[in-house]
Amino acid sequence: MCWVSVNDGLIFCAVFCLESTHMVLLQSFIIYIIVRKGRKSAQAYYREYNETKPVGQLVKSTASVMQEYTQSGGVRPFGVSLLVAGIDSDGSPRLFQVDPSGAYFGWKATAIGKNYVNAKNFLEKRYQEDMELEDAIHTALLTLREGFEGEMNGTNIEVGVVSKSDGVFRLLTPEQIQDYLDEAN
Amino acid sequence: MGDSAYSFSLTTFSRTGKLLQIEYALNAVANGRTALGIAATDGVVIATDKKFASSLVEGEGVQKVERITKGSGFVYSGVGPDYRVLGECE
Repeated sequence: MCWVSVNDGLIFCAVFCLESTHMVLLQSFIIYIIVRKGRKSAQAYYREYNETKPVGQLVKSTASVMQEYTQSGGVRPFGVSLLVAGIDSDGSPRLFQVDPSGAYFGWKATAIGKNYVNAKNFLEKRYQEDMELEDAIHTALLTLREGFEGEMNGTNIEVGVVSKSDGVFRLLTPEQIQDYLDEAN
Repeated sequence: MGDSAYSFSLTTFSRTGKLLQIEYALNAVANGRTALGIAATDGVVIATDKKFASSLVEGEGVQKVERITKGSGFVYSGVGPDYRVLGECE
């Protein structure tokens, strides 16, 4: 894992060491590329506009990349849907979904992946317009638990949060997640 | 000829106007781990589960929720390595 500072922002690179030991060698190279390209893209935006890339722009450019992979030769589409969380330039919290086709949607709350139909139904029942972040975190954990096999704890789930107050995206630590789970019980 | 005759090629529409490879990509997403997000009045939360096929997997370095800029982050559902490539583009 490595953190690379980009202006006042950060680009985070993850090492997936699941498949085999061979991957590790490959990964160190891939990470070099991610770091290089990520730095270039984020700095290019910053240099031009003197501010970090707003979430709307981020979604647009990511969706463009995904769309490109549906109309070019010798490629296949990305096998991922994304959820993008961020604070918009006008200060309002935004949640986007980006699909392999390059289509993107804004949501108040949504789910993707296995069990997404049940999770979305659950969210529809639980979502309230005046929901605050703390409630939202609890609701997110409750929804995740619906389709979870086994016991949830601080290490087998991941939660990312961006608050309007400071506009910084943060990953909750396993301890913080455990606290939220304990509160829910 | 049915839709399946066109499904080998991504860039060819089927006669019914579908791009089947894209629908298959969505199937790959639906097979992935659940990820969800909620936009509240004063912030946004995104979350996913991080369960492994075996308890022997070293989970320390696995990170699915990623910070992309100072104020925004990604989470995915679907094919992990493809996600990494997307991060690379941003």
